[in-house]
Formats: sequence, C-alpha cells, structure tokens
Amino acid sequence: MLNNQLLELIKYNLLTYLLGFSAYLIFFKTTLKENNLFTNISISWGLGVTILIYSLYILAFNQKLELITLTNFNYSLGALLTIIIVSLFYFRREILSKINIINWISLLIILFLLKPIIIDSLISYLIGFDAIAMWFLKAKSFLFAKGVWDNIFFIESGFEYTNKAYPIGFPLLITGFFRLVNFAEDQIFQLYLLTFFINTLFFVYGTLREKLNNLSVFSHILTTISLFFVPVFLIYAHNGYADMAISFIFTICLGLYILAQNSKNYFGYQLLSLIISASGVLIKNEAIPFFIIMNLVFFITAFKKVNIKKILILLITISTLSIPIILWEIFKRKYNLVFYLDKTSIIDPMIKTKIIIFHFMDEFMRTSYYSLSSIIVLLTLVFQTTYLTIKKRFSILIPLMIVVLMFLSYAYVYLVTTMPLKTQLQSSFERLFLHLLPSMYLVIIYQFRNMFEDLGE
Amino acid sequence: MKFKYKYEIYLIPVLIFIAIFNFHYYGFYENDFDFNKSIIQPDFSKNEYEKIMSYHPYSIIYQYAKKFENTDNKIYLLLLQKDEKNLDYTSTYYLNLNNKSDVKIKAYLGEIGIATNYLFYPKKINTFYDLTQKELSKMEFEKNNIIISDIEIHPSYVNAYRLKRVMFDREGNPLTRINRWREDIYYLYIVDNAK
Repeated sequence: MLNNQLLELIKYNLLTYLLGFSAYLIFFKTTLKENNLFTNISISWGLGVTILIYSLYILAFNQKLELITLTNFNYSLGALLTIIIVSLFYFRREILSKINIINWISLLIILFLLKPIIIDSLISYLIGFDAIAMWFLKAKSFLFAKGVWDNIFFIESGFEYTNKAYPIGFPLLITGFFRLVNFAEDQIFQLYLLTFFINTLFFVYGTLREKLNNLSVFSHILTTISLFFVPVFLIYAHNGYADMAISFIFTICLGLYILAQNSKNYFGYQLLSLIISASGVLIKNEAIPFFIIMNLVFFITAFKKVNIKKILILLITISTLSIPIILWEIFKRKYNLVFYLDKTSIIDPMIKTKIIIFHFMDEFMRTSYYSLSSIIVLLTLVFQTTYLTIKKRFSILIPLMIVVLMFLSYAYVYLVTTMPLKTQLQSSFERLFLHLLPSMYLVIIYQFRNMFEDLGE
Repeated sequence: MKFKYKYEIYLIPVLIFIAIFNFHYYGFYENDFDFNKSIIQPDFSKNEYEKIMSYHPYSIIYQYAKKFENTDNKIYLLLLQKDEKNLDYTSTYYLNLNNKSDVKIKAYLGEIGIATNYLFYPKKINTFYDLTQKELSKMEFEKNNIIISDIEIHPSYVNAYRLKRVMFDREGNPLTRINRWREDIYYLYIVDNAK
C-alpha cells in the first residue's frame, strides 16, 4: 500500500503518458504503427509533457490554477482512461499484431536495472542550486498564486538571481503536482523528473532495436545500459534540474527525423517533432535554436513533398504553439523581466574561442563524468563522418550537422556572454554534453545503419 | 551461441569491456544509493517527507520556516562572507544598475541564500550583503526575529541585543549528497530581547 502523495505522483505520471498516448493514437496512428514499444512510450511521454505544459500555461494566464484539484484531476484521468480503452478496442487488431514479447521482457529487465536510481529519486532531498533557485522556488510561488498576474514572485522586485525572464514551463509542470497534494513536495517529485531520463534511454534503445536490428537483444541492452549508466546522467536524472528534460526533447526530435527517413509518413514525424520541440522552448532558452534548426531541416528536406494542406496544418500548429510563448513575452514586457545576459558584448572573440575550444576538448576527456562514452562517441563520429564524406553520402550527415549546429549555438552564447567566461564554462559545458550526448548516440546508430547497408550487412 | 549478424561475436567483448569500465563509475553512485537507503529505511506506505528533511543540510532552517510560517516574525539573512565562489552575478548586476558611486556592490548568495529564500517562501527575507561592523551595529531588530548569517555574530556586533544561538549538529549528517560537497557554514540566531 502506497502513501497518498506517492499515489498521486504515480497518477500524475500516468496522466502525462495517457495524455500523450491518446493524442498519439488518435492523430498519429500511422507513426505509432511504424514504431516499436520503446520509441512509442517515449513519444507518448514527449507529447504528454507538451500538452500538459500548454494546458498549465493557459490555466496560469487565465488565473485558473485553482482548478487543479484532486477531484478534477481524477475526473480527467478517468476520462482519458475511457478514451484510451475505447481507442485500443477500436484499433485492437493493429495493436495486438504489434505486440512483441521480447520487447516487454527487455522493458522489465531495464526497469529492474534502474531500480536503485528509482528508489533514490524517492528518498532524495532537494539540494541542487539551480533546482532550488530557478525551478522549485518558482513552482512554490504558483502554489500561493492563482496564476501569473497575481504572483508576487514575478510582479514585485526581488529574487533576481532566479532569472525571472526564463520560461515557466518547467515550474508549472512541478506546480501541477504541488497543487494536487497541496504541498511543496519536492522530494518524491524527482521520480517524475527521472521519467525524462528513463524515456531518453528507452528512445535510444528503441532506435537501436529498430535501426541495428541485425544485432542481438543482448548487445542492444548492454550497449544502452553502458551508454546511460554514467555519472553525468545519474547526477542530473533526479536532482531537480531541467537539463534532462531538455536532453529528452532534443533526443526525441532528432530521433523523429532519423525515423522519418525510411517512412512514407514523413509529415507525421515532422509534425510530432514540431510539437515536442515547442515544449522545449517553454522549458529552457537553449531549446530556441534547436527548435529553429530542427524544424527548418525538416521543412527543407521535405520541401518537394509539401502541398497546401500540409502548409495549412503546419501554420495552424505553429500558431497554436505560439500562444503561450506570446503570452509570456507580453507578461515579461509588462513587468520588465529582462534576461540580463541580453546585454551582450563581443570582446576579444579570438581569445574567447581559444578558451572555449580548450574547455570543449577538456570536457570530452572527463571520464569521471562520462566514463568512456564521450571519447568513444567522438572517435566513432570522426570515423563515420570520414567514411560517409568519402562515399559522398552527405544526406546521412544531416543529423550530425544538427548536433554540430547546436554546439555552435552554445559557442556563440559563450562568445557574447557578459558573465566571466571561465565561470560560465565550468558549469555550462557539462550541461551542454548532457543535452547533446543522447542525440550523438542516435547519430552514431543512424550512421552505422547506413554504413552497414553500404557494406551489404 | 548463434548470432544473426556474423561479426557480432567480435563486437561482444568490446561492448563488455565498455560496460565494465562504465559500470566502474556507476558502482560509486550505486553504493551511495544503497547507503542512503540503509540510513533512511524508507517505508512507502507512509509520508516520509519530514523524515528525509531531517537529513537535509539546511534542516534547521526548514524547521524554523515551518514554526514561523504564519507569523509576523522578520527574517534577516546576512551574507557577509566575501567568498568569490558564492558571487551572484545576476543580483550584483541588478544591484549596481542605479549605483552611481565608484564602489561596486557585490551580492554573495551561495546555498544558504537560495535555501533560506526557498524554505521560508512566501515569507519575505531581509537580505543584506557587504555590511560593515558599524552598519551591523546600527540595525534594529525585534524580539523573536531570526537572523541567519554566514559568519559568527559576536555579541559586540549587534548593539544591546541578546542573540540566542540555535545549535545544530553540523557533522552528524551521514547521507551522501548527490553533488558531493559539504554545505557552507552558517549560523542561526533568535533575537532574545527587544531594545
């Protein structure tokens, strides 16, 4: 028998999955049929988080956060379950034909191996600097306010160190649970945040199963566990930081591009990537360049297949997704919430570039944080890129190009920051690697798949 | 053992080697997880929030935040240690926006600052940086005000006030923090008398 708060947390997790799965099943059935259990679970989580954050933004800007009560929540969960059961019954033949016992056994094995970190997420106190200062303090402020317009945290002076101009998607996600239990329960909520890490692992594992299906399940599980059971993920998976959530979003959206390549349903993947990447913009500013790059790449590569109907759907989706972003911009301007690093300067870029490259190389060698993963990733990418360039398979290098562009966008921020560079780089580089390492795993899997096809394996 | 991919047999030892190496680092964290679990001995049928909070490095601040939750008691946070690792660039920037003097005000935050603000929220914290001894002696307090400081406050620093220091066990916390560093030293006082 579980205590009430833990039960509500499990239900909150379930709500996120069900929200995402119902949208996925109803609107993206073709995409769901093309993918395996693991990628589908992760995509459902991504969609669910997006829908939840958007709903919370609408509630917050309409001063209706008090609608988040246990009664309303239970009704919503009940309604969702009904929709899912009806939809599953309607699509039962297609769903049953996709059930793969090996996948379910792998799922249980992976969850069993994750048990120590799952338990630890439930008994850890909140101590991380950014976790308390940037995210959970803002989440707590929404516990005492009906929305943004009466939230004294934002509208009065003080708490400047929390960077009030930052998006509020992540704090609102936390507040949703706080309001359910009517308490700032910042301990067991780490399990919800751990779910981002678990779904990132699932997605990479699912892509490995899909793209390198000539290898055994044993190799797949061993590879995935080795890549993810490294200190940087173990630390950030459940310490209250938003970086694992961003890493998840980057991984899913890049993965959707990779999965789209052999699919006739390219538009479905493009739309999914657009929706999920938009939630990143509401979580952290680092997602803005990713949102632009990812969706531009999708649009350009699908340009020949575009038609009026698809353009209309994209425009309607972008307009809907923009609503919370516009509302937040209006709020920021009204209360003069300025992100102080906006006031930039470019001083001695050559000197800064040298320092950035030095730290970048240093970061790859930090085995205490990445074990062998970062070094293997770097060497493998060099090998693969050389092969693919010589073979003139440039289209296969597009995912790698997206990752490189993201690195360059971070480098640009380091070049123009007014913060002392050394201070910025010390904490920022490990976040950068955390954000992009799973994406680099996907790039390697994708490039190997194409290399094996070339070699006739 | 038969593999679908004929070269997989050559790949498996490499994967096992990478796994052993990576699990070497994972092992340290798993030991910490097991150790913390053995100390806390969680019972998931009960709400363990207070129990786990008792191991928090700023547990005493949490207790006083709860005690003074619905009161008018003022809370003072004195961040007077000029430790550069605690320099808060954002607060310093805003503090000096309208500062026309040549002397730049520096805001030091540190964990004690963010923990106090979080644990006491929505109660307002009166935060002071960069105070001289003279400025500290001119401050006015009321009975039962709380003072949290990153330096030990000698009775002579606060003019005619008696400060009762709240003692707490600094060394006895057995849990391993995920970020693996000790909390900054801090002191908690209750103002025992009105002036």
